[in-house]
Amino acid sequence: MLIDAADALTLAAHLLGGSLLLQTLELLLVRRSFSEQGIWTMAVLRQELVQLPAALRVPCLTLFPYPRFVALLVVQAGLAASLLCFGATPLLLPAAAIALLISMRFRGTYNGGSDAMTLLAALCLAIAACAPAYPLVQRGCLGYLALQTCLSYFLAGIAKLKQPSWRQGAALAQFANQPRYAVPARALALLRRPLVSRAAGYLVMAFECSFPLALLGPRWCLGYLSVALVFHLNNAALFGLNRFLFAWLAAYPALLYVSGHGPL
Amino acid sequence: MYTCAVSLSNGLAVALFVSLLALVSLGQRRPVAGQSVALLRALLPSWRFFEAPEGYVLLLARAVSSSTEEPFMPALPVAARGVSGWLFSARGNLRTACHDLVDALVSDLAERETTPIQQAEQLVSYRLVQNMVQWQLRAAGRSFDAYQLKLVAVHSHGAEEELLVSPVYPC
Repeated sequence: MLIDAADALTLAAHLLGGSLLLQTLELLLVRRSFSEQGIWTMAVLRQELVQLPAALRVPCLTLFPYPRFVALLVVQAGLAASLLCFGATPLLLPAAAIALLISMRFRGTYNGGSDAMTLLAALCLAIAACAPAYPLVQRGCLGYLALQTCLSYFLAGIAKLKQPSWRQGAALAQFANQPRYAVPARALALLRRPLVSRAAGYLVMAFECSFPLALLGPRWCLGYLSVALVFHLNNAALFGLNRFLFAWLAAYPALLYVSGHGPL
Repeated sequence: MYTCAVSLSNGLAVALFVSLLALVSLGQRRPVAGQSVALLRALLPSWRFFEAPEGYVLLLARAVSSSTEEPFMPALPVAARGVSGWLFSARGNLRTACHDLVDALVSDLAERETTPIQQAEQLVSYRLVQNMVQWQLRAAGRSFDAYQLKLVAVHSHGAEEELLVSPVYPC
């Protein structure tokens, strides 16, 4: 299945729109947590925001106080909905800028790696969408996004491989035991069986470490993306990492494109 | 012919890429330094997930009122995950962000090795955790005049180690 740059860009923008819309609606639902009676209060955050260089300080101090930040989220929801409906447009640029501001409002990230992947996809697609007359720039953006996506799996795999607990097969059960993930009881009981934990751990490491093979061709890529989809669905169901599923999904068209055409 | 050329160029690209990956993965990870860089760290992902499971830190809190002094309880309740949680989970992700706040505090405290409580109270991460404890106690419908928090490290073999016990803070 060969996909050209324009189609990859459009499809990725649709998927990114959906991902941004879900993320923004989630934040709007818990908006009281960043009001002045909540957790991320400006009364506390101002302490470090005033130390930023003026180019960052001014927009942060202007847009981060509670009612204005909610308005910013509403604007982001509108931009996300337009991307979901119309695909790659220059609206990707303000969407990327607001995604960055949202991360900064939560001192770097609200939801770790999923914010990073969302931002990376938004920036790459924004640059590509703003340069329709420069196919090389578009292909470069898709190539960079694809390579970073490969890195995200590969480095995660290598990091696990270096850990004795992963090699011994105990890591997955130990993570599942941590209260922060609230793993469903039935899945927890299954993961506590040494054989299951070890087999699942080795499958995860094998998948992540071998992920760059997805670039060998569209068939390889589709195979890896199918496994990746199952992997992320499992992570969402077991560990509650639903944002990762949609953030990574938005980068898959770039991978599919690069697997068929090469990085440039 | 074209397909062969693409396969060959992809093969070469993959070989180059894997070499690059090997170099990157062998490199040492450096902690993010500087306030601006820390706030922009979403632009500099490390792509290391679920790396080391050895232990975790538990945030405990207790409500204090004029008549009662409750025992310490986990400040972040375990959230039940609904069927639609794989798609949309506003409360679940808020909870994850709260856990990340605790991790940020632990990391800030670890950087300083020994931190008197008066100095810890000046940390943004500490003040956010204080906000979080009050928020969670209110969310649990508790009436309280004051509260206290405690950080406990739970090691992989189950042993617990007290990292920090705060004074009692009036609301």
